[in-house]
Amino acid sequence: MKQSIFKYFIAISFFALFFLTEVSTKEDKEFLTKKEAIAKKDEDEDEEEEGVRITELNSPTVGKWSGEQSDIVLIDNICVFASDGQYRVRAEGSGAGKSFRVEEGKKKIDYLVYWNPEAYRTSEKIELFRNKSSRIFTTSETTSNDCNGGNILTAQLELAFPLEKLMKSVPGSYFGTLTITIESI
Amino acid sequence: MSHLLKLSIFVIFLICGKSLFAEQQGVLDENESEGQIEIELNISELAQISNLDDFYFDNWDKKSDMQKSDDVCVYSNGAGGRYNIIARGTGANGNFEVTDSVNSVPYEVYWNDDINKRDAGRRLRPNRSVRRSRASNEYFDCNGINNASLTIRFLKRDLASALTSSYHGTLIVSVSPI
Repeated sequence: MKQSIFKYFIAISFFALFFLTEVSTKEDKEFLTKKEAIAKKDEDEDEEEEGVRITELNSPTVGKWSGEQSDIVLIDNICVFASDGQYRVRAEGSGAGKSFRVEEGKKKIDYLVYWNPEAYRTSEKIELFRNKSSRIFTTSETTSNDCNGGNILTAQLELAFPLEKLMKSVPGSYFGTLTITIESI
Repeated sequence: MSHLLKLSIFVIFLICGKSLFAEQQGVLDENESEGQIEIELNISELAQISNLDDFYFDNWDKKSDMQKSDDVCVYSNGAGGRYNIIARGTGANGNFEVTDSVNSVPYEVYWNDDINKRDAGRRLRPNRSVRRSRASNEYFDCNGINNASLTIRFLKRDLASALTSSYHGTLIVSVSPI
């Protein structure tokens, strides 16, 4: 009887010791991780962020046309960081000569690209032309190159498929890519 | 082991799914930063018939068939403006006939997909699809130029045997892209 109790005691002791060690190790790790993060943040803040960056692009940008009598407009709100607050934008499509075009085999549909220097607004949009730099915009994020983890959006990209082109298109799934380049001034 | 396997499959699925349609965010750079999105556009198969008018027949001359035609507009985004046309009347099994609720008079339906040929075109049978072409594949409204004609013909023999009355019927014409 005494031997059994002793065995149970030993087993429970081992288990408790193991548990406490695990908790302690985990707490140490968490503490170190937090400490490292704070150190990294301090380091980052000390560093001056120079240059330009485009983030918060979303794809696939998918459109579907089932005979609606209007253009298809696809909108993506994005973030442009430019440390000196100024930038130009340039767009290149995946069609021949970098044209703005989606394709399925030999079938093609052209689209238009617009840039609005403010997110969630279309009032000041300008048309972009393939591989041609835009005028200077002054509405970029200037402090956080990742726009505070995507919480700041500074521009709007708009793709438009005009109805007149949609009506002339053969059924299918068309694909393309669009490359947006932010240029520093 | 099985949990590990499931987890691995889930992770692989996530990675593959992400890479199929992966946008590319720009990196911080002194001169320029480049991002890329993928664009997909799906165009459905579409067809439309428009500019249809009602037909009214009266004053049969008792000598010949009675027929009338109506020019219509067909849009189809099938290659080459191809489409299927199918018609059905309000008679039994979609038969083409008009009725006064008691008696009925049959009629024939013809479809011409070449507006430049001034004949009635091909005869349509109830609920039987026929392949045609030359629809507009650029404009829903055919840019104001009709491209097909629908003809309804009452044969002399059927008119001769019809009782005096006022007959009505509906013809449903459907087009679909090929």
